[in-house]
Amino acid sequence: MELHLRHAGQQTVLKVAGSQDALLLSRPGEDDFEARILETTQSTVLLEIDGQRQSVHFWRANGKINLQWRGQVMVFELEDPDEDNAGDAGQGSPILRAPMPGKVLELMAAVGDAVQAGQPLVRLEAMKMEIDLAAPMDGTVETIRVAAGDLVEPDAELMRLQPHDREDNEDNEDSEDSDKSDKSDDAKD
Amino acid sequence: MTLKNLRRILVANRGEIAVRIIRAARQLGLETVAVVSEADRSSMAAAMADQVVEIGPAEASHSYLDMDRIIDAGRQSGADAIHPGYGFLAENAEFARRVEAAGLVFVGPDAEVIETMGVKTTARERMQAANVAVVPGARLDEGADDAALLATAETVGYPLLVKASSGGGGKGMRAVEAADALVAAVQAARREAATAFGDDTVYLERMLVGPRHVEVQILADSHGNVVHLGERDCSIQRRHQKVVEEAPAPGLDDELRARIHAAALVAARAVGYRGAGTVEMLLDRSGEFYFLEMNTRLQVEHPVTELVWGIDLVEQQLRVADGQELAFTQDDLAPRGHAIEVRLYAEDPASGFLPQTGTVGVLEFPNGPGVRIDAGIREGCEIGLHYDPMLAKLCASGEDREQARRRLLSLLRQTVLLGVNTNQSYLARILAHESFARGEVHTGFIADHLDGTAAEMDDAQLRIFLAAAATLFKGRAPGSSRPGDTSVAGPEPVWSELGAWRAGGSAEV
Repeated sequence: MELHLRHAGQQTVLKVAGSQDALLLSRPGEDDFEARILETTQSTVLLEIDGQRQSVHFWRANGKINLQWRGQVMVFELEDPDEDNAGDAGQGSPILRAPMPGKVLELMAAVGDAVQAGQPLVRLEAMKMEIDLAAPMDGTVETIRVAAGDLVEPDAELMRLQPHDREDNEDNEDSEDSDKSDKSDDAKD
Repeated sequence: MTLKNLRRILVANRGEIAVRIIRAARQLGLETVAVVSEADRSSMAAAMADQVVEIGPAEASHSYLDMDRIIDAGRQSGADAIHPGYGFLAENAEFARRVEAAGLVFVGPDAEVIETMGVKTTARERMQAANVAVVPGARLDEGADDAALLATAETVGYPLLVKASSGGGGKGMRAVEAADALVAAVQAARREAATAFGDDTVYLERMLVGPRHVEVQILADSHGNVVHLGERDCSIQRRHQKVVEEAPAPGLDDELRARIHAAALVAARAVGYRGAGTVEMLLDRSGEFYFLEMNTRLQVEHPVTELVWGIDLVEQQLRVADGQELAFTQDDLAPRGHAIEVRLYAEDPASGFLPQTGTVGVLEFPNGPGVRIDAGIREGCEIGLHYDPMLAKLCASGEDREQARRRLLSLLRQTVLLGVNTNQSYLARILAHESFARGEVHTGFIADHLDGTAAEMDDAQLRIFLAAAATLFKGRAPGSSRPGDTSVAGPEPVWSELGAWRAGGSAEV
């Protein structure tokens, strides 16, 4: 069985073999490892891995599995390996979205500007504070959908970047991914 | 010993502090009334209170900040007193006045005292008049033009902070390194202050380099008795918002500690304080300390003081409000051990600490010696964006700081909270940091040690998660089984989930 897992914008392809409670797990480029499933309850999985017993808490919601081990959390969702998936550059989406309801106070970049990852692009007033939203990656500002004074909803698209190429990225892959982002946005509407 | 005059109190707040107050009130045999917005109808506080009055929509300005609605709820429910908690109307002098005018007791000091200490510039001036050293700073005239602003800033010196006069919680503040950034910073701070506090007045204050934030808990009754309950160190902050607090402040010598306590008592007496309050100071590297501000209410971090001094501060607030004299003198009080608290927030450090939403799917807090959790959430609770994102306070105490630190770290690693992203592992990183273990706390701690560094997960840890994910996703993998590939999840797991069944007739389980 092959699982395409997505966590925080990154994808991991995990091959799972073995029986009911003894798994053999492989990932491209990494050593295989084994895990024994000792017990599964309504909210925990008890595993034996690398010779140690580990308890992992879980909660399923919205098609995702939330996992917690020793206080650390990872949220995974399963992807259909046959579907197109946007934003696989691993840096995040080239679309800057409003994280919460708010008001656009200031645009700190213009169409055509080259910007760097982390550079503030939009100043938003939300939760009684001013929050600067930063560029998720190096790129050029392609489109701006809002103006100072606009009220925005969560996930509203604010700006779109044309990502700059990184050494290990292919040009085609980037622009294809941007197009795919477009399609998945339309599907949401 | 129960109260003589108060029978029923209204809690004008929400979340964990509302729960805290209700608990203390019940222990004193008081009846409790909770006011809730629509969003808090099924909150923990609502479930615990004897009466619940719905006072408006989620938006705070139409509910928790609506003075008249709250006072009406007080009258309607027959409450004798209103406890404002912290935040919202807790330091609103007008609210205190209206409560008293309505014939109810406001749990806190007099309105005049709230007003004096609530306007930061006036508070500073009162303290200077009482010979308490204040952080060098200056008022800004309302109509000051850019030239006047720059001139005033020169007298204060750079780097400086622009701060909201009616402010708190790190809002309406801007740091200014040099003159060229001053005007823009003042404008930004004014805008934020106007939105957050309804008052855009700002003032300037010198920004001490790497200071420590040390504050003293004071308690005063209406019979002239004032005591202190030691100091807390709240230096670990992110953007001027407290993240970790502890009592006592690590590494202070006895003489300095005594001077800080003494200054806090002077401050409290100078304004005729009544109730529980906190005198905040900044301690600079040379060992000089300066009055920063006085908070005329209970503070978020009060649990660490309670753990070290063995006093229930909310109970004391209610006794003072009841007109009672403090049952102890300064000599009767003695601190023991150390306590540390961390604030669990619904925010995601990995995406710039943006507030998070979701449903609390699983919530489990561990227990044991030296563990204290002040939470306002329950499993199934919806976390939205209407209010401050603090979910709970996790505290640990011990015989010494290291024991408290280890207990808290363990607490953070064992707490289960799934469904909303939080800063839980971020907090564990702070507690585990060797510099924190050495007690090297100061306001630049997070900037120095954590900013810009992501938490690393080594592959051994990642494998545990992947194995768990594989276990749980087995049988749910999308895509069809390929011929000849017996390892792909097909119909088999569905059969295994069916459970006991019998052909023909009903199944008895």
